[in-house]
Amino acid sequence: MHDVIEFADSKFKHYWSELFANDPLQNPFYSQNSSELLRRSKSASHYVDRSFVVIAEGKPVFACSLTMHTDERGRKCLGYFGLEAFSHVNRLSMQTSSNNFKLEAVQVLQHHINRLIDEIQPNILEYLDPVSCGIMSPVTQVLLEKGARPIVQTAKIIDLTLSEHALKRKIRQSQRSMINWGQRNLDISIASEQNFSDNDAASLARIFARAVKSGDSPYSSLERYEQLIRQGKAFMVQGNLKNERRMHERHSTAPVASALFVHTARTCLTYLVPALSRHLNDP
Amino acid sequence: MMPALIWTSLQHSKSLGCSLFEMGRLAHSDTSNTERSRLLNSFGGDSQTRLKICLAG
Repeated sequence: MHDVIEFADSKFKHYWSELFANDPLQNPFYSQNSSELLRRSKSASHYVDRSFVVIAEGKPVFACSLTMHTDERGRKCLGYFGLEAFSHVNRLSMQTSSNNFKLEAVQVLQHHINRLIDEIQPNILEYLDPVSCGIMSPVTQVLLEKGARPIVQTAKIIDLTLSEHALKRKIRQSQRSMINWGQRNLDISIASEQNFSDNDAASLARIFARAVKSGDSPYSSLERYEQLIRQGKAFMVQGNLKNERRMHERHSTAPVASALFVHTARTCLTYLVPALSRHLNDP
Repeated sequence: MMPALIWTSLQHSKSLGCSLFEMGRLAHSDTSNTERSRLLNSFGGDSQTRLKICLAG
């Protein structure tokens, strides 16, 4: 027996949490805790949450993070609170023999996506297929059949279960030298929910302004990022030149480099990291 | 400076109990930003494919 549980259903949170706990990727931006914050913020009040979970035999198999909104040009857009829509899989639901999901669950997922597209008739749909467990999402299949354009991307994933020594050995020599230089010459600090100060808020505002300018911030509100840090879902790393540290303390000058990272219990993601932005414009 | 900050963030993520660290994504077709590509590829790690799908009605 297969079923679709939509966001408005009282059982949605239960199934979503069970699935997200078994999602191999656990992208921090698509956790329900993170989305809960968004729903309460004014900047996201125009988004309608159409996320759903596909259930098979009482267990969640697939989920899709999906919102609808009308943009400033009056176009109906499907995505997820300014990011791409995203799908999640329950790795416990995979059939070990075929390394794939049950056909009936796939069909229910595809049918529901088709139904939503027919109902909403979006002008723009942006979706990110995480290619979980090496399998293209059934959602992608539906969208490609409708004439969607795919852009192939490569994500670099680092295994943090390795020791620090092993991690460092995998880093290129040129970067290791720069890390060593930084450790000698920078005061590096971490701002998180425990110690987030007004100075840190000012640094965050500067990173945010740069990201907005270069088109790298999907969220148009600084409040969103502050919430992530204050709720313990993100941290900011900042570096000051050691000989400028005292000046910084006296005059509150800006750190020479700073970057924001978001995380769940399993996955950490580089986020507002100037050097990794699409338009490199920082030292 | 950024490599030192990224290294610190890797260490901090480990201390938080995270087991995966995603450095970022780069489109195969994007050959314009070699600096970004170099930094993405210089910390080791496995490459995983992502598909960004855009449908304009």
